[in-house]
Amino acid sequence: MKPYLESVRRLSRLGLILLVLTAVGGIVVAIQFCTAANQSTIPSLSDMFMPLTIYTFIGGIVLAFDGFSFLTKRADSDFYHSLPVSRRGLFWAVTLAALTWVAATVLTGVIFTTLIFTVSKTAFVPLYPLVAVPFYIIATMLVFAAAAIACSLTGTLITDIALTLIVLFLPRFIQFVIARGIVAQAGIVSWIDLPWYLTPVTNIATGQIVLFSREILRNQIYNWGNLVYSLLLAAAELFAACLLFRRRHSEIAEHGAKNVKMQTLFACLLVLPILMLLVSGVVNITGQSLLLIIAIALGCYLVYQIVVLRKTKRVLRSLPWFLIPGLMTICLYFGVQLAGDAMRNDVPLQQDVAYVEFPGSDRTEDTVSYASYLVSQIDFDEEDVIEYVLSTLRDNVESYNQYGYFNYDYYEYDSNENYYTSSEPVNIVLKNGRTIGRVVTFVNGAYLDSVRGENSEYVEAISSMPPEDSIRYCQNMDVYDENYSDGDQIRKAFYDEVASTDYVPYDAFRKAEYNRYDRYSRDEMQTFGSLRLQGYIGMVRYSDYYSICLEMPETCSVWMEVQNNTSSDEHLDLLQQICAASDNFLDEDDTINVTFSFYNIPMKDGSKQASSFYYSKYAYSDTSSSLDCSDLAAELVELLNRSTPTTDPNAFCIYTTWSGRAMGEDGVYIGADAMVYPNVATDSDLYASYGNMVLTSDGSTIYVGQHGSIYSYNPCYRSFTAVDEARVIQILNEWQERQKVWSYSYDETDDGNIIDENGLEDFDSSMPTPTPTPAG
Amino acid sequence: MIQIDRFGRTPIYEQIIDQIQRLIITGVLKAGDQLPSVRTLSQKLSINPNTLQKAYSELERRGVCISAPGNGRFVTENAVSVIGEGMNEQIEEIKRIGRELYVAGIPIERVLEAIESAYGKESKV
Amino acid sequence: MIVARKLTKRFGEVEALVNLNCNIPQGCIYGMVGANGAGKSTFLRLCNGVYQPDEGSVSINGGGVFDSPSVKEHCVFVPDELYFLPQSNMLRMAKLYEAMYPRFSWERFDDLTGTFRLDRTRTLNTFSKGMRRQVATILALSSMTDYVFFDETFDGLDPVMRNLVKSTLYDDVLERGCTAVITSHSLRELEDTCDQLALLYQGGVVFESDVQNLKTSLFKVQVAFSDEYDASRFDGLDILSFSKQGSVANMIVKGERDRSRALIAKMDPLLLEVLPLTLEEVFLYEMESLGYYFEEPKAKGGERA
Repeated sequence: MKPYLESVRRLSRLGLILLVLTAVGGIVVAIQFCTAANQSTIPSLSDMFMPLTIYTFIGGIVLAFDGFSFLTKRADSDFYHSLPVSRRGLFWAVTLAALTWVAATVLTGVIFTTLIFTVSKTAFVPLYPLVAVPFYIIATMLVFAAAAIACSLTGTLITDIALTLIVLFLPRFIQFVIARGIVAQAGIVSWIDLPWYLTPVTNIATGQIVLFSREILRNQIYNWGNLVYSLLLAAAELFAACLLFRRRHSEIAEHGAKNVKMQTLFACLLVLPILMLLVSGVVNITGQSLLLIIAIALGCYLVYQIVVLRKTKRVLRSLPWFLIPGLMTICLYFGVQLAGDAMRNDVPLQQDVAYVEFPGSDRTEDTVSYASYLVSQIDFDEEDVIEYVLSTLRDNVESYNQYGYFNYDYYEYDSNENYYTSSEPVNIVLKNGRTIGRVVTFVNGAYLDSVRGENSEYVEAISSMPPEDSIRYCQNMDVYDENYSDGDQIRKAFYDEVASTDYVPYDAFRKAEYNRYDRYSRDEMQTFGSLRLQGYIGMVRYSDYYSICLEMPETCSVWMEVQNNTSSDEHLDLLQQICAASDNFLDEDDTINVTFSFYNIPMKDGSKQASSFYYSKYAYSDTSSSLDCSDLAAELVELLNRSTPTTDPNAFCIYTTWSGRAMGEDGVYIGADAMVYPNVATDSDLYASYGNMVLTSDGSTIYVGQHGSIYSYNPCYRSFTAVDEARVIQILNEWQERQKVWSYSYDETDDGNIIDENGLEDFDSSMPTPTPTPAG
Repeated sequence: MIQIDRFGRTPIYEQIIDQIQRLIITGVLKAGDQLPSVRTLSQKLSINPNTLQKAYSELERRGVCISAPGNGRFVTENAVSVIGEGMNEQIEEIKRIGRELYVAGIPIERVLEAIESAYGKESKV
Repeated sequence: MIVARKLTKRFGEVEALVNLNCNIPQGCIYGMVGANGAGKSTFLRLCNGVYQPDEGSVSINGGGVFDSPSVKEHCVFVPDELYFLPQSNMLRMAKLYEAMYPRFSWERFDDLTGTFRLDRTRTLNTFSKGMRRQVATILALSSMTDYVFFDETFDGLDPVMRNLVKSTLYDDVLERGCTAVITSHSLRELEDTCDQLALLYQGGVVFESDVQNLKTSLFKVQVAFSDEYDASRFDGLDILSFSKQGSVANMIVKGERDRSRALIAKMDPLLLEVLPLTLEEVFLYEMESLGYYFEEPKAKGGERA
């Protein structure tokens, strides 16, 4: 007990400094996050506790080197070894003291960060702090253990550092290289599907570094299995270090490993990473590259040996040992090739399969779609599903074997079918318990959806909205609700409507419509708004974007109502005036830009479509070669001024946004009071691209952006009287005709941009002529 | 009482023995008196207690003192005569000095005078 | 009791101790002397469990020392190169010693610190080398162990401090049967303090003896005769060295002093002086007689004519 307390005291200097730094870092990062302007994401675990990732390595190494610092100096080492404490006792006193400081630091960091989030009412996943505590403690102790092994083996700081790096990184580096080689060779296996002994993140210390280059593993690292593995590994390494410590000779302090054997071992370990490049698949094996890499490795080996051993004879005698890493590389190379091929060709028979799972292609993302999450929990044991998955897998593998990559030409397409290709991860769970995880490319996504639809859980899942109490962020109408509020009209309407229909609110699970490029503009697919929800279930953060489209008319209506109630700055009268003035702009910077967005335009083929018409004019624009619809626009605007707000999503309606300015004949800008001046840049600010330069009285210069204009981007949805509506449709017809002519002639005269006949044909057919509804 | 000359050639052990014996001979320490404890002496003179122990053991062996366990060491009744027996060396020493004096031409009367006075001092006590 | 049997320790190709045998009885103050590199420090470190013997054994009270806290708690070591925790002061180091040694005495620590008026809160790296040595000694003595090992410690202490340390040591020897092992370059120093002495040479103990015996069994005789004579006249004596200048002969004799003196006196010499030897002289002549030749160790302070 007493040696333990003594060690805690001894480590207190550095332990306390690191604790304070980590705590402060945690506070700063947390405050930065919580006070950010547009708070709209729930942070991941590593984002929330980023300073602790740094502490994992710095704390582990510093505490080990400080705790065992007496091993690098003769006088110190002799002193400690003369004390009446057993070697084992001394070792564990230092280790447990370090563990105490690590635990204190991690706890402090986590507590402070969590406090700040709680106090500032910023959303976070409550399981994260709970997982973070054991996670970072174990990770840091893993680093500590590697450093402890190094300190027990050698006696100088430099060799300690070198050996620590070797113990910590070399095995994982080799594993990483092998895994990379297998993944590259197999082609249809992702990093997440590798067996546990090839997965880089089972070591949660080095795993954190791997995340920088293999982000797809970011969610996997926090599995409890990895924590347990790392804990056991750390314990094993510590026991090994204790053994070495007990056997250590006090007299090797201040000596690196002087003998030839150790140095040769070091040299071999040094060249191993270089040779490993050949295994990893990073380098293409050609005669040239092979020779180059071997030459570099051999060179490093010789240089190191010469520097360390000094005598040429010794260096030459140690040369044959170079063959060992060489042989290892060759074995690994062929091993990796074989393993990769074997993995790829491992396709089970239908009768051996118990069920399949679809983990979701967003499993590699920071957040997942809620429906994706639900679907991933389902076990599909339907024969059709299994059969389709297996046959697709088989095709994938054959295509890969034949071409070396996934070749779409391998598939015969039915031109009448709506094909949507998707690559999805699939877990095939066999009856004997084994799981085969692959990334499978499904050529007919729609068929996949339909066959999965046989599973009732699936059908329910893809229509499920996230539980209300799990939502943390709800965004719609550009309004950021920092705290999810119960009185959210649009969201409630959406929820109610989803529940009452069998509409699938998730785009990813409605692949049937995906092939249509006009999918957002036809009939029920016309979109009025969007809803974005973020929250968490357990450790999983979900984030979804829902389109509010005509399939959900109630919600659309609510949307329109909210929009209309919060609309402002329509200035339709000013619009009319400026349009009128646009025939002859008086000021060279005068402009008008209008977007007329229409919903439910009746088309010749009976469908209703949403479409936008654009009108813009500049003072300096030359109308001869551009589309001139000023007269149509002017009339539209006039009709607009007679329109009334509507909340009927099924009606023919318009949503107009515009900006512009025009100098009036009296020298005053039209609607001068309503004009908005955006960012003014002074000469010390960033360069403003163009605009008016104004010299101020104190000598500085300010740039006034060109567009001191009227901005109208928050309008109402408006509908017309029957008569006006008919007229509007006629106007649109005319407008479209002019567009066709313009684009035809434009394309003809412009050499480099000729659309072929067929293209024009397509363009034509996708824009059927709006049918005027009969008046009355 | 006891002085140690560190810088002389005589071993400390012998010096202790000689000095104790001298103290007894000169009557400073009488029969039955307690000798200073090893502890006190070693502290005062800053000498190795083992050395003192050995010296005392030697004195005991010679019969000059006797130890009562737990109570210390005491001068024996016949300590003086025991010491006297060991004084043959001194007689030889006188012989030698006498020869030197003779060679130097010192008259024998003076020598006898010196000796008589030494003995005389004793008898006067 | 410390027992070393065939103790061997190598550092690479260098043999620091070879088949060393010695017995250090309990309650004695044991001095070890030898040239630099003779193996004194190595021996002390082996006794304290710093090194592990390559061959042979060293045991204290019957138990092997290495990695044995139950044995080591009875030993404290004051090395030649001192170690203190970085940025520490005496108090901090005392706490460390207290944590390690179960019988650490704050009373003695306060006592010794007070006597020397050492500032317990001052950082130790601001102390002079001599003061640091004092501190190390105080800490060791406060640990109240049965065995204390001083590696050339006394060589760096001033006489006042030396006396205080010695009297504390003597107290411990008397009260608790404490054993001290001291190495030094100065035979002068060891002569005063120790009652057992050993000479280390090239990794082995070549001479081990009670100090008293050492000093009383050899003596220098200066004798002169009127007639011609040579060494053969003294056949009855064990003469280690004989030299004659004119009619005066100087010789080193081994044996009982009184008897030898009487023997020579019978021969009726003109001149007869029998002198005890200093420890240095003893060692020199003993070595010569054993056939070893080595550099006379330099005496520090108190050099005598």
